Amino acid sequence: MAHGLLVKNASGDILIDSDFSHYHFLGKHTHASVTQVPDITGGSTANTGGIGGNSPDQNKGMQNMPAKGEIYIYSIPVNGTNPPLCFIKPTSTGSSAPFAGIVVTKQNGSNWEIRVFQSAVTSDSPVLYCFAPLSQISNSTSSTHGLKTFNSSGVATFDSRFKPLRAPVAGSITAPTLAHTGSVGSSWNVSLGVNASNVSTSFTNQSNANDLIYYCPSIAHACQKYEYEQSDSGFYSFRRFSWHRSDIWWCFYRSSFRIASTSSLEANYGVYARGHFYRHEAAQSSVFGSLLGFLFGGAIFGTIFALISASSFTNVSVDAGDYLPYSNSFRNRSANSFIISKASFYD
Amino acid sequence: MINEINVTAGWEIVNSELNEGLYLITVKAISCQPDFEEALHAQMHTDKVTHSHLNSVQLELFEFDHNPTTAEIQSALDGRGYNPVIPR
Repeated sequence: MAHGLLVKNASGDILIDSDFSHYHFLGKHTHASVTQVPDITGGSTANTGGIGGNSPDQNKGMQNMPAKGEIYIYSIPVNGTNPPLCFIKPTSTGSSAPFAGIVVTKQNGSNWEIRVFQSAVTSDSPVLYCFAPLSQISNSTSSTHGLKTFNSSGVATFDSRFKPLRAPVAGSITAPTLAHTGSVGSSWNVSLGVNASNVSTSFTNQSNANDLIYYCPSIAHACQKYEYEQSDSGFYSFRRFSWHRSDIWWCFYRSSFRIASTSSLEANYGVYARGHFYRHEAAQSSVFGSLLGFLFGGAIFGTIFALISASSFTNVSVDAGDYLPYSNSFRNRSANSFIISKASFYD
Repeated sequence: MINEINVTAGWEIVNSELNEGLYLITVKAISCQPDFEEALHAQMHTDKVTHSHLNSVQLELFEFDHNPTTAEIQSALDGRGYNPVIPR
């Protein structure tokens, strides 16, 4: 740096660099709307009415599926090419608090749309503390004292009058591997709720957990499924029967975070989207009809048997590849950067 | 000709993935009701006797910190309560 200002602390960390576009407080924002990803479901049932044997009809909806989290949508007025840096002021902190993380940041006209995913539905909602470079902030002030820096092009890069971002803590955190470990279901009952252990990262102790705000976008995700199918055939009450049912349940999880204490940030997953598809088909034939066919010739008898043979249902299956981006795995879980600041700096 | 489901009980690996040092093994586990003795089964059809051939297929996911052996997967399946035989 041939000219300019560079301020460091005792540890050598750069606090102010006139060549760098520092982020300044843009404002505090509440959500404009809240939504959830609709369940993706479907199924087909054919000829199963009155079928013999034990043809299963239970759990064709979303029974036993874990609850989804909700998505808060914010519209941040900060026109420009640089997205705002948005810190989450969570609805609560501690070991019972929901997890939350930013899942979408996109420019929408002269605003930026931010979507925050929270792992559980709550009556309160998270608040965003947003920051942007000075060039994208339209604040004005009558204050005539402070420190203001410019880069070599004469563009203002730091102005102490506009609440520059202060970050007492920064680090990285890693999400769990799978969201659900162990058995994911039994028979027609699914068990895909998040049961992974929280991953905790320690940081320098702060005075008040409820004052902390964090920037930590959700980049990790996991997708898991449960598949189950049954088939049966044979004779029942003088009828030959055959049925086949095949189901797939799945959940798509996003990583999210919470302030666990004055010195720890925790990561885990929340259910972002979920679905259930099934196919259930059956056929049966009266023995008397078969006998009638037999009396009139084996061809009819044979045809009836062919119609209800088990081989008719070998394609009664649901292909996970039609619905899931991937299954029974996870992506992007490590080295998720985070910054922690304090709401009281800006309230 | 009797044409009913002919499924063999057992298990097979349907997907194996190594992700960040973790082996993610998805296993397809098949359970069946035991076969009837052939002559008895033919007689049941002749006499239209009520009987059935129930089969189930379940996918299970296991995590290992190493590439598992067949015995280790079998042991993991046993731990989940897998039984290849569905009692009549």
